[in-house]
Parts: sequence; structure tokens; C-alpha cells
Amino acid sequence: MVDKVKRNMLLLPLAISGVSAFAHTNMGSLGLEHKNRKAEFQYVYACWKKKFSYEPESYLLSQGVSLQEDKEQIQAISRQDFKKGNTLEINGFILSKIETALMAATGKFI
Amino acid sequence: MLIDGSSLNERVELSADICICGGGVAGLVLAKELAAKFHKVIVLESGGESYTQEAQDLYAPSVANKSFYPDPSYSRLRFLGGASNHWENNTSPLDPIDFERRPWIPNSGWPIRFKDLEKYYSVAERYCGVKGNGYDTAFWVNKLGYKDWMAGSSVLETGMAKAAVPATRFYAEYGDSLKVSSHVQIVTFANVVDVDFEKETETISTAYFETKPGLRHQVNAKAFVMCFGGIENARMLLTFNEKYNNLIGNRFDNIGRYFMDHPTVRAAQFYPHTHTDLDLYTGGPIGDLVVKGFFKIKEEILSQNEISNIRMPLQPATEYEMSDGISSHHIMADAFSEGELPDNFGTHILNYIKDFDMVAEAISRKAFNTRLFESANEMTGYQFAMMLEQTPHRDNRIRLGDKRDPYGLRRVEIDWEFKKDDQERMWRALELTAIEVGALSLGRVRVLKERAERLMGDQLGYGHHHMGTTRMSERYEEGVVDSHQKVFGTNNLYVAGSSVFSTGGHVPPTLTIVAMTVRLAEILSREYANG
Repeated sequence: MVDKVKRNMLLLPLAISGVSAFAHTNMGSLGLEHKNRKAEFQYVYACWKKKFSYEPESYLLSQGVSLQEDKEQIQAISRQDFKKGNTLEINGFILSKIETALMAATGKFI
Repeated sequence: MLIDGSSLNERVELSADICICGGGVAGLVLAKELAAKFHKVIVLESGGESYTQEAQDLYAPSVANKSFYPDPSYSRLRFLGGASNHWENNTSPLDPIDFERRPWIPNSGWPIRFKDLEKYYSVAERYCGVKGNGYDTAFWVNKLGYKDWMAGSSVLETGMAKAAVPATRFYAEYGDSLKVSSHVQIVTFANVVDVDFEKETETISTAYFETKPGLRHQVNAKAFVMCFGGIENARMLLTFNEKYNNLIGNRFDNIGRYFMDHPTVRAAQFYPHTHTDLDLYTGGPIGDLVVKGFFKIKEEILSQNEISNIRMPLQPATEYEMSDGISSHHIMADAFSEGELPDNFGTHILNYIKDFDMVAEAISRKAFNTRLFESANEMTGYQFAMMLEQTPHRDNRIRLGDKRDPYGLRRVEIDWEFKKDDQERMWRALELTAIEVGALSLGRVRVLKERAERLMGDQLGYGHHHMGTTRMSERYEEGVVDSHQKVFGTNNLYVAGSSVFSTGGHVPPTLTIVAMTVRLAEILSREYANG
């Protein structure tokens, strides 16, 4: 049997130490398999670029959100996004625009 | 009284008030209900008191199905108690909207309403062994002290299902009381092969049955009820009509058509923000009863968005079960074997690489029966183990094939497809669900549209619920039986069972079969008990 730690060492050389923004926003519970978190954020950024002509960080700024933003406030914006249908589909996941922007911005800068 | 048909060596002629053809769930419940109201009720059952391969083989189709649709040789059981001998006892009532004519679902609409059936559901609960107390979510949430995750939603709600533990086997449960009844005669190994239909009076006078090929007996009765099962009811009516030129309920070529099942698809995954407080949806047995909630879409939202009814129970799933890589591996292998590249090839390659450990796990399990990674069994989230309403399409149908069984009756052929319109409605329903789950901050839903081809192909599951082939309708032009389950064009031939369902909702049919059979018993008692 190969335990999970060894498996991660085998398969996740790109594993990043952590993204503080997502600890704040509780997006760690998205259920995306974080075997290669950096690559996934970069994938989200690529999806964002396909969909929008503007950068994710400029969208976040336009919404008054920074990566240091309060977790509850971001969750509240996220709920509103869902209610307004302001969502994106990333690899099957239906995500709010604000959380997608946060992930995309992370993917751009890490 | 029980007559072992296999012991009959000479022709017999029987008489009864009511002749019930078939001793499955509907036939046994009907016999129970009528026993106190009629002098003599006869039940003709093709099988015996337990399984025999010879009787079971009579279900074999004429040709293998063209689609993935399961072989009807084994999705049914041909002995007393019928499919209750292998059912899971999963019960819920249909929803009121299931009975309505919905313009976005072709051929929908029953000639009866939910309220016409409501009072019979409580009787049906007792027959099914799930006691009383109904299916009201608020009642069960209060009784069990569990959290209703959908309490604050205007889009989704929690529906309830109940099952008895162990499952209720109808003949084991009710057989003894029928055998000792002086008003009921059950004849085993009695294969109905023909009827006498008087065209002038539109009356069935006699049903013929054979206990061995060629040894023919008869039952004369005031009324006959076909309880053969969801496929066999159509098969036998088509058989009778070969002789009577479609006068028995088939003037408009409706018998066998509108065949429905419940496709079961795992097309979405649910990742809750917390795994606590999900007992309502994942809880185990409470004594001899399992009570479980499932996500469903509110009726007004179904209407506003023009979608079909859908049930979304939560099935805890491991990393292995949720793996993209394994699914992508199969999709690519299937495409490569046909010399093609799959759609979304890049995505599948990425999935394969990303999930290579789970692909390796799958190969190891399959080839060496050995597990590789401990984490493969870690619970990651939930699958929606969905049961879907299927549109009653006219060209999904039961037909008579060329091959014949030992009694000379033509075997069935099945045309069945889970059509694109139903698939599209399913995806819309899942997207709505995903958005609402996000809006309620319950977690996130992943909709597995990129796996559609495989999900709708070799991964498609079935409820094995055969419905709609002798559908109930307002007018002869649109169906086979009227609102009293009487076959159009006849005065005394009735059909019981899920073949009369006009639509099937997302609900396992047995509870409704029983409720409708209890209702039919009342109708028959009014019509024939004093005549």
C-alpha cells in the first residue's frame, strides 16, 4: 500500500504551500482535488481569460474585494452571485463569479 | 385454496366472480381486497410458490435488446409475489404535478388527479410494510430530529422515501391468508393463453390457461383483471388482439407504446461545506424501517423551467468513485477502439494524467484484485444517485417478436431509448440545483456534462420499473384503459399495475401500484359485487 503522503510526493511536485486567500474564503472545501493546486488555479485563470476580456484582479477591485477581504463578506457576495445567476462553469463545477475571480487571480500570480 | 396446476392432468373448467390473471404485487393485493366482497375470486399465476427456471424462461425476449436496456428475462420474477421477491422496498408517492398535463412533456397528464389516489396511499403503505405516518418531510424531520438542508430554499426541497427492513415479500406476507380463504382460489403454473371476446357485447366471457403446453383449461367470470406486469400486460393484450383484430383496446395502436422506465444516472457530484448534519439523507435503519430524504425540485420551479421530475438522493462516494481519470480512461479507450478521438480529448488527457493514481488503482483492482492506495477509499463527497422521470414517447414500445414460447405465444421485443429531450431537461435541472446549492452556501455541485456520452451509454442505470404500456387516458385515442382501469372497447376487462401509468414521475412504482389496485378493488366491488 502506498499512503497518501507518498502518493503526493510522487504526483504532486508542484504542490504549493498554500494560498492564504482561500484559507480566508473557505474555498478549500470546493471539492476540487488539490493534487496539483497550482495547476488548477492556473486552469481557472485560463478559463477566465477565455470568457472575459478583463483581468480577474480588476474585476475583484471593481467589486471592492481584495485578497485580504473578510471571508464572510466574500461568501455573501458569492451567494448573491448565485442568486443572480452570475456563475461560471469550470470543469463541471458551477461556481460564483467572485470565487472564480479569486481563484483565477491566484492562478495568475502564483 | 391453492391448486397446484402442475398436478392437473385433465382439462378443468372453473367459474368465478372475478378472474385475476397474474399473482404478483397487484394480483395478490387485488385478491386480498376482493376476498371479503365476492363469493369467488380466482388467481391464475404462471409460476409456482417459489422460483423455477422453466417459468422464468417464459420471460425471455424474442431478440436481444438493441440498446443497453436490461434483458427482461431477469428484471422480473415469474412466481407468486412477482417482483416483490427481489425489490428493495423503496417507497414514495407520486407528486401532484406528475398527474398534470404539462405542455413541455409530450403525452403527459393522467385522467385522475393526486387527490383521487391520496386516500389509498395510506392503505398501500401498510401493504408495503412501511407502516403509517406518510411521507411529509416536516413530520419526519421533527420525529427524527434531523436537519432539513432545504428548509430555506425556494427552489429545492427534501422529499422522503421509506423502506421496510427486511423487504416485504408479498406472497410470504399475504399468501397464507389467501390460501385459507374460502373465497379465493390460486392456481399455480397457470399460463393464460387466450380469451373469448364477444364483439357484440364487448365482453370477455372466458380466459383460457394451460398448465402444460397443450393442456388447456378455462375460467368463466363476470370480470377479468390483467395483472401480468408492466411488459406482459401489453404482450398479452397484443396477443389477444391478433385474434380479435385490435378490438380489445387497440383501435388506435396504443398497446405497448409509451413504454417508460426510470433511468438512473450519476451525473452530478455534491461537495458540501460540512459533512455533519446530513443524517436525514444518509441515515441507516431505524428499527425495521429506513427513512431517507432526497433532494428534489419544487413543483413551481419544475413548471417555470419546463423540466421533468427528478430525484436526487445522496450517495456517499470515495475518491476512487469520483475519479475523473477512470471515466476519461474509459471514454478514450472506447473512442480509440473505434479509431476515433473522443470529444474534449484534451480534457480527458488532463483528467487521465491528474488522476493517474486512481486509474492505476482501477487497473490494479481489476487485474490483480489488489488495492494500491489507501486514500482511494476516503470519502470525498456525494454523488446524486438520481432517478429520472422519462417522457412517455410513443416509439418507446413493447412489440411481439417472431419467436414463440412453449405455449405458442409470441415473445416480446423492446424498443427503448433515453431520448435527448429528457437528457436536456436533466442537465437543466442539475444546473438549477447547482446554482441553488451555491446560493444557500451548502457547498458546490459539479455537473458531469463532459461525461455525457458514457453516462447515457454503458453507465446508464435503470429502475427496472416497466410503465406506461397500457396507459390510462381520458380518451380511447390516447390510451388503452380509462380512469377506472377498464380496457377501452370492452365492458369487463381491466388492467392493474404500472402499465396503466400515464407518466412515471421519479418514484419507484410499487406503492402507487398498490394504491391504484386498492382503488380498483373498490371500483370492481361497486360494479360487480351485487350483480
